[in-house]
Amino acid sequence: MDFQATETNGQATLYFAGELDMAVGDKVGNLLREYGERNGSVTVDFRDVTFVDSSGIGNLFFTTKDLLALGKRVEIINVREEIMDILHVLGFAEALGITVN
Amino acid sequence: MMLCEECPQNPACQNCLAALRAGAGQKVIPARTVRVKLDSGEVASAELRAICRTAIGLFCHEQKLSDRVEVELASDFRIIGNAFQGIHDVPYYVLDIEKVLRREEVLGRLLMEEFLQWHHSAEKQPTDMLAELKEPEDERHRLIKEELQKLSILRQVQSIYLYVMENGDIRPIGAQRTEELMEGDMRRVALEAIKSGTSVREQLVSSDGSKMYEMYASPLPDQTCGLALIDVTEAIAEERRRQQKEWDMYKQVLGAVTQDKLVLLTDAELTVLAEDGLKLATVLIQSAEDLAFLRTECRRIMDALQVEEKRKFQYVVAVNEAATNTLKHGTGGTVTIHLASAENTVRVIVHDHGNGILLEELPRATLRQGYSSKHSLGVGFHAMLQFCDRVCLGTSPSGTRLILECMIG
Repeated sequence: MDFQATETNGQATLYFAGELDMAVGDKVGNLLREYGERNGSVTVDFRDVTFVDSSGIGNLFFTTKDLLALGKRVEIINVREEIMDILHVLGFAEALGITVN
Repeated sequence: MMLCEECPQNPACQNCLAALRAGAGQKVIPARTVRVKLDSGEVASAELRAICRTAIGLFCHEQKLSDRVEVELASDFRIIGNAFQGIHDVPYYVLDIEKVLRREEVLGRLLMEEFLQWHHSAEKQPTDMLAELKEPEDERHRLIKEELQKLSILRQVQSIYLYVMENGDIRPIGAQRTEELMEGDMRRVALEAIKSGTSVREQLVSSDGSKMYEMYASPLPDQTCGLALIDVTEAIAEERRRQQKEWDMYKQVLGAVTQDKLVLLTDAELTVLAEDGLKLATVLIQSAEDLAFLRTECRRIMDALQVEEKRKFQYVVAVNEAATNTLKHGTGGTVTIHLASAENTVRVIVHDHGNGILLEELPRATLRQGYSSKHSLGVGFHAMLQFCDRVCLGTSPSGTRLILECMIG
């Protein structure tokens, strides 16, 4: 799992690439928390995420939930069609009420 | 009126029934010893001598029964009501039934059929069984009896065989004795009990395997040992029948709710499926890092079988979820990938050696959708059911086996 981030005026963009599974779930969740806590808004770019499962995405889910409770804005963009199917089956976006596109 | 003292030996006497002041009553023959608890908290022993739907008749020398009384026929069969003296000058009391507690139910009346079933069943009090023995050996007899009363299983047993071991010899107390071949085991357990100074309990199987016994050895103060051999064959068979019935019900419910996508299978059925077809790969899952290799192996095999891209992607997600669960809820497992013999089906078998899923936990573990807690098993299972054609599940204390099937035709 590769990772890059940019921060501008309270807006962070996180870019992940690779497979998001149990092995990297903690790391992804911790990065989102770190950038989310020091910015008002976080965009997670999924364009190069090629695989997700319930464990990998689970960390992202619970961290996003915490950030939303703190009043932060979280958005996930550029999700591949096949990944979107998985997120849909897992009920990811629906449960959080966030924009995933 | 004193004839009631003879009841039920005098069949012509109807006094106990008349005192119930209700129709369609009947005598309890033989009278059953029951435990009576008074409102004051005092406890006494009484004989249950007559019953009808609305009242019961009790013969009690130990206490005067009045006001609210609870009568315990068995731990799961109790009658509560108001008692009063039923026949003048005789310790025969009538209890007007307020409620009957039978297993999980609370009823306002005594169901005669239920009572008779209990009365004629093997649910005898251990003391009743011992009372049938002739010439009880006083102190030893009393001590064995005391120990026996601690065992709740006695309410379901068919027979109890009592023995005493003295100077290394095993001899029965009373007329009943079980097969002689068991006496070697009895001697061994009795010696163990004497040596340790505490009671020892062990399960034994008869030499032909047809009977199961719970053996209970209790050291006595004079360096001898009392032994009780309790025939639990029927009690165990009944428990197995109950478990089978429960399992069938869960199988039907899970099948109905998932449109037969989730199939509960026995170990034997799973083994037949697991051995079918051609094994293409085996992957050991010991850490999260092994999951990537499993996905690679799955994709390689699906590519060789020319499985369509989306179908392949989703099936790999399902397999990955099953493998992940072996790490989440245990220490890992083994995944084997098979091509089924004649069904155009890829079959992945995920086997963990955890503690298994309890039957009553299965619906929650397999049918819950979405994230509810960090440790939710359901969310991954939901993905498996969505992305496979069929999921077969078998679980036992030695682990859980999941078979994920994907039609490729």
